[in-house]
Amino acid sequence: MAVSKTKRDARKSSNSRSAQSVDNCEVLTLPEAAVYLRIAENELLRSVTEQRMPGRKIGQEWRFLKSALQDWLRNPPPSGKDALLAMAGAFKNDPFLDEIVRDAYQKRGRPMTENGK
Amino acid sequence: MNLLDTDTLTLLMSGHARVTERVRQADRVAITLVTRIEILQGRFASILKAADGRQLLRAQQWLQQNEQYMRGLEIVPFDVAAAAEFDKLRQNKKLKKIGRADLLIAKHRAGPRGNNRHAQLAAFSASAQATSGGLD
Repeated sequence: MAVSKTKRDARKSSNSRSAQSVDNCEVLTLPEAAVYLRIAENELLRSVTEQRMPGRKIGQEWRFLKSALQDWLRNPPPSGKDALLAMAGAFKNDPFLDEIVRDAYQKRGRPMTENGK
Repeated sequence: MNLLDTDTLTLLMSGHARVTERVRQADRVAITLVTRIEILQGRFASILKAADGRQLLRAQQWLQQNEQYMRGLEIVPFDVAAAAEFDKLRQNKKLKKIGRADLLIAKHRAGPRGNNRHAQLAAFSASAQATSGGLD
């Protein structure tokens, strides 16, 4: 019980430190960024990988620019259909695309379209 | 939900006007994990097959660009129902000639959240065929 209380106190103190440093720093650590955005750390990391939230891993440590997080919140990157439409024509000059799709359907063992064209 | 198969996605990527318009008009559009795998496998192969340093760098650049664009896409994952459907399809002897990738995509037709996705996929494929002056 005493151990648990000590851990709770330590966490509270750490959170309070995080809250203070969030106010003062432009560059945030993972716990600080989570406090700043009021979300769990694992949710924040998921947003980095799945929703292109700006953050960088330097060695074993994550760093987040506070102003970049604000920009991301204001103007989230396109997702779903918007992200697909952003791709439209972006690979027009890609010399590898035809071969990629041809190889994919060769591996599937069938032509690209039902009429074989 | 509308699913784009790999050929239709690549048409969109190359700027095919009709496919782009169909995507624009659709409510919700996604790709399957199979398409993501096929595109990235192709990108890796382009790097490994590069004939010289210049081509190597170009292939790498297109891989990076592709990865960046794909991050925002909705990718339909496999769930338990889809995995069970995949097992069922694999046991069907009549489907022996159908490739593994197509079976993995076809499993979206069944399952509790199927919503006739495969039919939607077929609709987009039909749209893709219009490139060569065929359907639609």
